[in-house]
Amino acid sequence: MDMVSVHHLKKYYGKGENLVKALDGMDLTIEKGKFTAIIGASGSGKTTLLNMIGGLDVPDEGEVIVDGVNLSGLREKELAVFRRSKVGFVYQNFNLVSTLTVRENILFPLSLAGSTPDAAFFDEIVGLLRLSDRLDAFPGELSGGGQQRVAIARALIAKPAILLADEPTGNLDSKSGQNVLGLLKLSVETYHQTLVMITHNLEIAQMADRVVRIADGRILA
Amino acid sequence: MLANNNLKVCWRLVRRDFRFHRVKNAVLVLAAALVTGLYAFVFLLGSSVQAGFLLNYQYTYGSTSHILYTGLTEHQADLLSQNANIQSTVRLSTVGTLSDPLVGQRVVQLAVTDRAYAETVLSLPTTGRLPETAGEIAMDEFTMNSLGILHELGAPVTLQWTDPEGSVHTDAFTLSGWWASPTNFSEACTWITADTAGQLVPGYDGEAAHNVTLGVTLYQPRDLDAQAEQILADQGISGVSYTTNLAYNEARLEQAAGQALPYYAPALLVLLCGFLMLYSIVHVAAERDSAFFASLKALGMTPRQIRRFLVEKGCAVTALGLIPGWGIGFLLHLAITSRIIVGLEENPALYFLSWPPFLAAGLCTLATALLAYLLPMLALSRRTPAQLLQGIRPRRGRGRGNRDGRVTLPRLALGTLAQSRGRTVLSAVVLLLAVVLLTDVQIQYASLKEDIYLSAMSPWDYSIVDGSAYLSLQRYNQENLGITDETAEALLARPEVTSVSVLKSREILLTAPEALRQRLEDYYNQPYDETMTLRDSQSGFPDWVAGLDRLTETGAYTGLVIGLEGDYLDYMLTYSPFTSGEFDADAFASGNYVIAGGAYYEGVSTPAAGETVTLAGRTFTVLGSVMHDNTYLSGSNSREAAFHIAYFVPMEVFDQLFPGQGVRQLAVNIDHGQQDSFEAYLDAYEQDLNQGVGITRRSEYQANFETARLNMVLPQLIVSAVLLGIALLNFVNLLVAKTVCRKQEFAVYQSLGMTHGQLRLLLLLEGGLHGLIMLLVLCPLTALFARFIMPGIIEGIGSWAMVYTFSLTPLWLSLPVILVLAAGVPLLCLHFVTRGTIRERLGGME
Repeated sequence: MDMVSVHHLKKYYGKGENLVKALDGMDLTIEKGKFTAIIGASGSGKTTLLNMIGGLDVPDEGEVIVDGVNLSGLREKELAVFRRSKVGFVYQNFNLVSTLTVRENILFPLSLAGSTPDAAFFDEIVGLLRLSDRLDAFPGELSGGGQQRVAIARALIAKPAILLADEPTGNLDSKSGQNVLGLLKLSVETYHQTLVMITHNLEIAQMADRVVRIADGRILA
Repeated sequence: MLANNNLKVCWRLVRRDFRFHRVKNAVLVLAAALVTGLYAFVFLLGSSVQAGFLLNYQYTYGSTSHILYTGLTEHQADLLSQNANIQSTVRLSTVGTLSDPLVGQRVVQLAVTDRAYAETVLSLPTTGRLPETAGEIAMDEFTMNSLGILHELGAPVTLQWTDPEGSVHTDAFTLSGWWASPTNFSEACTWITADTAGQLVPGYDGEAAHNVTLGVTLYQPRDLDAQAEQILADQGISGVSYTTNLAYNEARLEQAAGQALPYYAPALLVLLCGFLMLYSIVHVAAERDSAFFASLKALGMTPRQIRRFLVEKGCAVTALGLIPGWGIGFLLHLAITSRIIVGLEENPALYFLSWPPFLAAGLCTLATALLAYLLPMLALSRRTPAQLLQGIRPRRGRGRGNRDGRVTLPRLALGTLAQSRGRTVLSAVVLLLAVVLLTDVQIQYASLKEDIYLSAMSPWDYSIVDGSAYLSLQRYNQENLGITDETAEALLARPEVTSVSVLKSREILLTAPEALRQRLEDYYNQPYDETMTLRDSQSGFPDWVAGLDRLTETGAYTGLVIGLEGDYLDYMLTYSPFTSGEFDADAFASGNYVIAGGAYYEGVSTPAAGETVTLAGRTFTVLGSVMHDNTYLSGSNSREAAFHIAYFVPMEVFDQLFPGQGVRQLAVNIDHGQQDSFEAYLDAYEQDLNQGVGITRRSEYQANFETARLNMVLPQLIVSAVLLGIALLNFVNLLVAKTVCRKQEFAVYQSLGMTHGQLRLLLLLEGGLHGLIMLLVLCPLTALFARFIMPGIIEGIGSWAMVYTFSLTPLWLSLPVILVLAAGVPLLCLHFVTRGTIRERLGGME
């Protein structure tokens, strides 16, 4: 069963000679519960694709269907609700809220939705990600790896169907990177989630169930 | 190692900065324009006030010439005119001086027409023209009114004048024109032609005649006395007297500068607030600039190049803001200065317009802009690229989070308050200062009471006085019939008028009985203080002393019979304490009694109650004697009446004693609701007259009060208004900065599922919290200041027209503006911070 289905997706930037075809008629399906790695050179359209799947950007043409929801027909408010309920993002630069504690950062998506957190699940996640003793710290007080673990916890807390990770280990040393990757895989397996990860690292890509290569906005065969 | 400082690249970077960061730079230029405008206005106002004081001194001097040499021969005047330090000269040939006693204390010269000279003494006819044919004469209105000359071209003029030899002449002329002389001129000219002068004094223009006055305009009007002496010495002339223009006197220049200083003072505040405004705008983009300069430094840009870049940026911002700023300053000057400087026919904002204030404003703005760039300049020059990047990393949070980890929008909004706390506090302090200062101004303004002022300045609404008694320097001409009983009746018939009071006066020669003579001699010989007698205290008034001497030697003295009624009688009784007897209205009205008025000093200096006095052949009993406060009398009396005893009689009695006597002055009260229509009537009445009358209107007192009130608070009002404007801009800037610099943060929120509505609510809450903080700071502190500090300040000012009046108007006016800004500005910024896709705002495009 497909978690993500992308049909003839196009996204262009600029005009005339400056036209950049970030996505140029891409078709892709991602199977549910699998770890998919997206690799490609800089400017190949990896991040654009991830943003389209996550509802952070809208395509010029084509459609994106995530967990049965066609994003093309959603308004901004519906997209926001979709993001908070279906998707968990993990960014290269963490994107944590510096003024909130670790606990608050993790629970932030639920706070936005006004949902009551599942205390047992919260404990389970912070235990899994080894954050139990740093819950009252602020992001600035953690190491890069620690911050990325908070970002992963935040991505998982709403039990999203799909985790989208944009080079989550790009800002980390190799040991921290390995740890984070291990945690991501563990959480996906534990909670039966779909993981789509952008990476430049072929070693990491080889750990995925499937590797998708992108060049010039198209999937390479 | 040599540092290669290619400074040209800095200017290229500045130009590119303007091209690519248009919004930020447009805001900076706008701020620079505002700062320039405020500086220009402050300097234009200050220089205008200073020039206004100097012009007033010039009026007092009576001429715009720098030096006036008098008593010259034509040859001496020619010699002086050749001096190299002299730019131009004007000359006056005096034929004589008016010696008619009715001219009063003013000095009026009979002189040959010289248009250039007339211009320098502001004595060119505004009605008619200068004399052109023999027998014609032109003169000022005050002289005409004193002599009872009709305000009609061609009217006959008979003058008594004295030539330089001391001979008195009386000659007839025909009026060719007249002008209104400034009220503070104690000297005036009447113009005749050279032909007339030749007929009056043959050879008046002869070589030996010392009758030329030379008005000199210097190239450098400094140290006028020294230059006047030097010019005489250079030309080999001695024994010539001169006067120098008060307006160029060093002490007067300093005095004018001192009086204008409060109007320049707000420039310091403009400096402070302008710095804050520009710096805060620069600060908004600091993060982006830090990243930019970090990369430039990493590429090898030297601190000197960075300094050069920022200085050029400051210069460019100032230069672009100059012309609109000068425009703003000029418009403010045009709107406000004319309300402060009054009394000029031309608009003072244009009359005193000069370029130095604009130049000074430009230089000050440049200094302010460079000052605003100084801190970034130092920071960017000293830090390494790594330190610069480190400085822009997100700040650590502080305090303890919520135990349950839930984050509500209010809590999220509350969390942002902690950010930029320094700037929030600064914004609140500046706002508080501005509102407190405005409250101070408002309370001072509201505490000045018009009714108290009006009742003190004039006990009645309108004074209509004979034209010969308008100025204190003028002697009242009791033969004038400019105002008659019919005038009073016509006024009383007006629907607006509630009362008209008439006052007439007549000087008569009386002889004091021996007892009175002795009493007055003893009275004035009593000690005034430890060093002098009462008589000695008046030694500065020779006419008064001569009058007392005449009394003590011969018993002769001048009696000033004053017929009065209504308000005048009430005023006299209120302010002139009785020294013998008491007022009995019935007895006074019977016509058999008079009240005697003497010196304003304890003791009886007149016939006492119960004694008798004979006036114009009719004997009266003295009802009482008073210390006469004569400030309500317009004009002055004759020199012979400098020492006099006043006798007050009811108006009917006065008319019986002196039938046909004109009115000296009228006091008119009206229904204030009909003031406009009554003043329109007065204007028409004055227009139709062919004789001079002086009218002092209630509206003039009101205008004087408004001007005085405005002048009292204006320097502080300008300061406060400027401060409030800048405080509000600072507040707006704070809100804008707090919103726009979190573009990425909001993108994160949205990527995590925050809806646009939630984001709008978050910004509204943040703005509301900022507004609430300002409200919590401003309301209690301003109210406490107004309630407990201001009464002391009002008491300290000690103005008789002030009664402390509580007011919080500036606070009530400011609060809605602050709250609207607090709520509106972040929402307006919402469009900018959510422009583009979330992906773009999160950064990184691929």
